[in-house]
Amino acid sequence: MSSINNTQLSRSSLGSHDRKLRYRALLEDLSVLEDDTANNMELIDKTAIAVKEAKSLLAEGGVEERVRHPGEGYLDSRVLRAASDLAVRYSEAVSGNVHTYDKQMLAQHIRENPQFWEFPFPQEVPPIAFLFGTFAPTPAERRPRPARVHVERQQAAEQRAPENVERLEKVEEGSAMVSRVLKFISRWYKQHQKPLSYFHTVLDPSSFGRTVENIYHVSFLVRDGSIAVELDHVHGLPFITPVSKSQQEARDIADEKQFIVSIDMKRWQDLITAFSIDKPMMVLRR
Amino acid sequence: MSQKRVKKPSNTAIDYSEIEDSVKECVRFIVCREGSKIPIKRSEIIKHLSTVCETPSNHTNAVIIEANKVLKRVYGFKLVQVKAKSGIQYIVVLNEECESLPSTVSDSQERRLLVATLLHIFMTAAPVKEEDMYKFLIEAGLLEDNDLASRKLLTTTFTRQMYLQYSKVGEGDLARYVFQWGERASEEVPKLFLLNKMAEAFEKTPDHWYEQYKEATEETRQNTNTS
Repeated sequence: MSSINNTQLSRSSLGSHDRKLRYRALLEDLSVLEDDTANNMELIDKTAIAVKEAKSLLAEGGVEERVRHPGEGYLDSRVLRAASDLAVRYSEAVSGNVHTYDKQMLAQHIRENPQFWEFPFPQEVPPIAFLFGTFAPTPAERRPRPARVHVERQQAAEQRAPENVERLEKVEEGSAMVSRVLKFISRWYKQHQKPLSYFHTVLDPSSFGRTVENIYHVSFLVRDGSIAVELDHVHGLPFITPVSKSQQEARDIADEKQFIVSIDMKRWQDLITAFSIDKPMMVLRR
Repeated sequence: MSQKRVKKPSNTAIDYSEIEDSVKECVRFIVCREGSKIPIKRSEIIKHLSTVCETPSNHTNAVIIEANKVLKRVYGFKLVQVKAKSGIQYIVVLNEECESLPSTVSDSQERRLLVATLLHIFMTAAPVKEEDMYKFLIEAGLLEDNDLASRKLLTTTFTRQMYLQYSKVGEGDLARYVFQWGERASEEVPKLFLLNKMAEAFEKTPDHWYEQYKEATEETRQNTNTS
């Protein structure tokens, strides 16, 4: 249909004559549609376009124009007449075709014979099932991860530096014992005014473990310079002498010699018998 | 178009023995994967083949063509390419109509729901509005008033399987959701088959439903022409 082009042309206002021409063209179109055997829906669309066109033509003219040219009104009514005839025909065709389907009846039939309406489709691949139900044929569905449980952590206490490092060291068990050993040695030295025999001091005939501990503590004192272990010229045996504060300050490491004390069960027993020690000389509060 | 492709040197150059393993793997993959009826993405096939057989992607076309031949010869299956937004997908249907035994694994209630839905759409001869569909199914005793799970079967499962097409029409206040036949339904269910079922149920001849009969015979005619 060439109507769209025509409409645009006539917008610039053309006379009644042109409008009449276009009404006639519309009428012709509609009479052709009557013999058309195309799809029902298409025909309805075409008719609708024709009616719309007629309506716009009518609006263009205005009332006065129509009074002056009654021929226009006549043609307009003929177009509408033809269109409505067509509409009746289409709707007859539609109702005649589709209304044979009664969905209520079908629904009722399905409700009463559910078995009848259960069948595989002719071109459907029979579903494959796995004997042991493994292998899901689809990729596993993504499960949402459980939300992370927020653990409320105990707030760490404010960090504090140790108040006094020196005091902390003294609290240590080992160093407490060391100072006790030192106290014992200095007291003994004050009472007897002579060096202590190293072996008599450290050996404990009732306990090898104590002996080892004693040796250990004494070696700390020697390292710190609080006591000195010297070989006695007469017996060739080691003796312990406490070292005073002033002597400690004057200490010269170059003059000192280092040695390693080792002891085992056998030597411990040999020493005890050699010095005939029957009770420990140094008894410390533990 | 497809013939032109075969003549391309890149395809003819591939020796069958070279891709034989890939073809076998591809067939296996499709057979296993088909059970869910969710369309198989071409990209999934490519990924599977490249991880299992290290098939180069330029062989994919040849492999799928050969795999389709095997599926047809051995199983009577046919790969159908369907269009989707997310690239090329395939569904698997039978090459020829066949009276299969009723499946022992699928849910019978589900099947009735699907049959009734497809039937109603076909008989209405137009897209069916969502609400109208539910009304029909409730009347047919297949759906409860508040059965959201079954409604979801229609809108999600059947739609994903491409039995149904669930789409929005219109804008704003006039927007409606409608059901139509999906591509899988068109491939698997000949319309004449459904109409014969209708005829059997109501003791009429299929042409009692003139418009539907016209559509169904038209479809059958087209299929015999192409095959």
